[in-house]
Amino acid sequence: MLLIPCPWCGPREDDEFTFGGEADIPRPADPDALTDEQWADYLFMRDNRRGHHREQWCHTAGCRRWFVVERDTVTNEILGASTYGDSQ
Amino acid sequence: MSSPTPRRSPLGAIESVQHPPQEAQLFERPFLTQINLRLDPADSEALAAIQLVLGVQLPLTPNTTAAGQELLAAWLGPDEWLLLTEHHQPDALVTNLQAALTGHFASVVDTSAGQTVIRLSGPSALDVLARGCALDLHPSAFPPGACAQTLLARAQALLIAVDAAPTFDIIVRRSFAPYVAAWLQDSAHQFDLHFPTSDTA
Ligand SMILES: [Zn+2]
Repeated sequence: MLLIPCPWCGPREDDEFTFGGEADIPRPADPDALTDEQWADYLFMRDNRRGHHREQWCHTAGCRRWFVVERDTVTNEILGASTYGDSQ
Repeated sequence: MSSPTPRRSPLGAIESVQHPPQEAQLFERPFLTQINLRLDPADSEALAAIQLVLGVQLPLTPNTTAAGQELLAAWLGPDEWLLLTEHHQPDALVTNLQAALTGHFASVVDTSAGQTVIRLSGPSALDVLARGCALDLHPSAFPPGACAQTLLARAQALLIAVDAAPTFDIIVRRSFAPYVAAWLQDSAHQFDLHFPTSDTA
């Protein structure tokens, strides 16, 4: 069981959340200009880092907002959470 | 003209929840007006216009409610609220809110028929809820006026702390209401609650 700190609601158990994969992957500004390989890379390829990881979570059963969690993928330690507004 | 279809609340078929004895600590509050409101909290003009209509300021602190004379506003998200009232008809309130928000980026949706309110009260209420809810709902952590959307027995629910009895309003989707009511009745059997026995509805 992870205790995930929603930036709005505070710490809640992970049952309330949906995982959204690696964070900080911007949508290409002009998808039509990409090759199929570049588009597939954007859609499917992720780093699967060991250790410090920035990832997206949605507080599905709570405030229903997406935000960014920093987690150590080895120890599952939660290192912090932020809204998208904070990181821009 | 055909006569209007009589209204039926989500728990209307469950006699013990619908017509509880005086001492009951679990019952439905049917047919409350429930409006989902979304707007940008940075739009101070819209916030002021809404306050004029509702007579209460929308709560901007997460997981809190604001109570006016006739209406309760519950925080659902940084740009989303639930308005609960028995003093305004849904159509009239929606019309007034939409008029107040003309020209603003906002949404007003009548959800009155989509969800219902179950009230649970009494000293055992905390124990009844604790069997299916991970939140600390003790008044020291979840005082009157607090609210939280969470899972109750795996069903999505909005919990509102009404008073320190403690009394909770539990707002669930219409289709989940019979299940949640049955679960609450079952959970309550573990405790010394003044509580009507469950019907086979
Ligand atoms: Zn949240």
